Amino acid sequence: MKFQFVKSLILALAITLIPLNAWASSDIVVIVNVQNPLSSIKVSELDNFFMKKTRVWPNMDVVRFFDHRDEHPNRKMFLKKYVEKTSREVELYWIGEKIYTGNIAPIQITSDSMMVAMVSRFPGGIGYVSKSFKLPKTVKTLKIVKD
Amino acid sequence: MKSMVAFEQKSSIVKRLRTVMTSIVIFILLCFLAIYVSNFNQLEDIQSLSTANNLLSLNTQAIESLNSTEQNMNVIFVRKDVSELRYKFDENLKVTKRLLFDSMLQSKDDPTLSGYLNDAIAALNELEASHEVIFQKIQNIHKINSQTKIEELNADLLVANQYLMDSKEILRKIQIYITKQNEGIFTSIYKNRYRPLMIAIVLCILFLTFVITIGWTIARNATKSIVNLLTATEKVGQGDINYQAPILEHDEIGRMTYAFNRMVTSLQANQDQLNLAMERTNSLQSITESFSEALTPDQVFEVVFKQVFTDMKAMTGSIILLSEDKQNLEMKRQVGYSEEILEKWSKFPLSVHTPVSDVIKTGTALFLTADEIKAYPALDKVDRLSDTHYLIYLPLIIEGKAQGVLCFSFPNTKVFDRLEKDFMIALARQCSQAIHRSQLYDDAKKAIEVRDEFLSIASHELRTPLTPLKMQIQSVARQLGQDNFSTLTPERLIKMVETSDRQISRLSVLIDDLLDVTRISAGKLSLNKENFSMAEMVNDVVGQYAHQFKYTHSTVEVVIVSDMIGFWDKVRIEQVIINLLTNAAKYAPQRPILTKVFTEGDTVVVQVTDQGPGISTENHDRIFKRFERVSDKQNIGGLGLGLYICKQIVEAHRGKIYVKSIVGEGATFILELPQK
Repeated sequence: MKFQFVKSLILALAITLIPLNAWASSDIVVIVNVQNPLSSIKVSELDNFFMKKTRVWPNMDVVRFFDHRDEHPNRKMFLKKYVEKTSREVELYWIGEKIYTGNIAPIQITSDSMMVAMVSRFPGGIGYVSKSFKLPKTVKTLKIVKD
Repeated sequence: MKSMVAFEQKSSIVKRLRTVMTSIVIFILLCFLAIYVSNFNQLEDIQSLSTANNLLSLNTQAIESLNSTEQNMNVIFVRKDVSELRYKFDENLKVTKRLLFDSMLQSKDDPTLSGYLNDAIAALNELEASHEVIFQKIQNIHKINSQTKIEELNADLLVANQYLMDSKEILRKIQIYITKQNEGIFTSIYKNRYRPLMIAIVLCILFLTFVITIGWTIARNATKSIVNLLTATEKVGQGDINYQAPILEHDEIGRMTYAFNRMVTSLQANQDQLNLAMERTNSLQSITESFSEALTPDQVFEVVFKQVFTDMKAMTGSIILLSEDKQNLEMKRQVGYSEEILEKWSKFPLSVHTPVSDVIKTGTALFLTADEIKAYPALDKVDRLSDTHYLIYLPLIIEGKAQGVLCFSFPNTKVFDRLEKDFMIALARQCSQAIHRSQLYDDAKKAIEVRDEFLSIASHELRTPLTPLKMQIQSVARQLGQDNFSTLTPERLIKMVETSDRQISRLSVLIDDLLDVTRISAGKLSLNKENFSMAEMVNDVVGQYAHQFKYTHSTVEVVIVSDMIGFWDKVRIEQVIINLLTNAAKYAPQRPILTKVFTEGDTVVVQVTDQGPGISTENHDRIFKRFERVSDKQNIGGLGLGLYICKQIVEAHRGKIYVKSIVGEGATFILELPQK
């Protein structure tokens, strides 16, 4: 009985927190290395960078997209907002790419801080972090405009 | 004359066959080349496939090496001692790079693949650099005491991982690229698997078509030429000798056709000549027949001028024969000559240089043009028929010697070829034979006449002494039958016996003469030689026959100038002397006979001279021939054998007997005998 209550409580808290988390995670920003000359890109361009359909920036730097791990809330938001695919669909996509084009899915980062660190390391680096995350000077946000 | 057709020296059929054979050989070589090229592409594909497989293998090994590197990275924080791990990292990276370099060597002709490999090597270099950083930091891990440093190290690892991913991604792309290439090669091989077979089949069909076309063309051309030749052969065989086979090609058959046409042309010419020769042969046969019917020289001459002259269409013609003395030439018959020529040339000496005398001397026919006849100065323009004639002089050869000439003249325009010249020579030969035959006929006729005359004379001569002998015997018999012995006085009986004896002697002499002639003819005249004096022998003979000379009232004077004893047949020489003396008494009765004996060196000469009528010069030889007598008009008996027998006896002694006489002045018979 006691455990039943605890379970119900946890479930209630979880149900209560889900919309809160969803709201919180929806606030993500796309970041690029500070050396990147661009200030904005289109959604489709961002999708192509993620899907490795476009491999270089206009300044010929290699595009290095850093993704969050699947359990990270930012990833779900990112997939929903810009890629418009589910995690499963993206997984299947990369399996297909690996087989037919050799492209491998971007490296998945565990935290925003690591994401910022990796974007900072590569001039062509691009990733996404929570909007609330304080960004260092080595990276900058990239404005995503609709197509 | 037809122009010669130019034929190739080499056989065109052989040349064509050689060309065909060369074409076939080239064609077969091209076929082999085509098959090789078609297979070469496949070989290239297979080689590419092999290279790609090698690359794929290298790539797979590189990927496995990277996987190993990745595994090592995953355990980097678990290991306490990372030196071994670092060594493995280095080894793996070296192996991977080595594999990529090997791949680059094998794929230097493929820019895409080379680009991929360069990218991969660059990524590996980055990976190696990042590893170096990581291992440096791990060695000093005890100094890492802040969250920031841990995160930094974590970021380093992620960077290394990123480079590792880059490398794997590139290698994966290379793998897919090579796989796609392999698929393309496989597809190409599969798609082209029947190509060599198809090429071989097409080439075979082309080859067969080529061979059939060439073979058919050659066969058709050759067959056409052969059929033309066959047609020509059949037409010529059917008698159309004017047909000429067309020459289609200048090859062996063309050459054969040309030779056939030439042969037909030659046949045509030969046919014309044959016709002419047959015409001439017929003409010659006709003339020969006519000649065979001609028995006398006059008849032969008649045939020559009636048939030959007409057949030859000559303008003038003549027959000139050698005279009996062989020194002159006599025109026996002529046609078409002027009186002037006839008067001049009816008889002329052989020594005059004329074509006729040349032909007589050489026995060779002369065919002279108007210009060539001018070489004889003895002939003036009239004799040369105004230099407007072609003159032919044909020898009449009898018993191997030219005895006359057959002359014809023709207009200058007439041309004599070899055949016509041969014909004319053959004609002259026939004419010669006919003349010879007619001469033989004449001689035979004369011989028969002489024989008949001899038989008549012989029978008369043999009968003449028999008649008085018979009469004497019958008279005695009659008187004995009548017992009338009173008339048979001894004187009368002696006279009758003497008369009978004389007749018997005469008969005996005649028979002896006949026997001598028979012996001489049979070559059985034998001599019984002995030494005796010619003067004594002559005196004895004259003494023995004194009563006979008395009977003819002839006086015989013997003059012995010098004597000689020789080795002779006394009986036969006596026979000669008796014959000469009795002849003298017979032909010059009642006239003196002079017999003179003298010697000249080792020869004794006996001359018997009478004062008879004499003997003409043309009879000097004749009287020594058989059955010949000086004259029939004197009614003097005899067989005409005495002098013939004398001559034979004297010649058997290697002596000579001849007569010197002038008509009306008597005759001297001279006997010359060598001593031995």
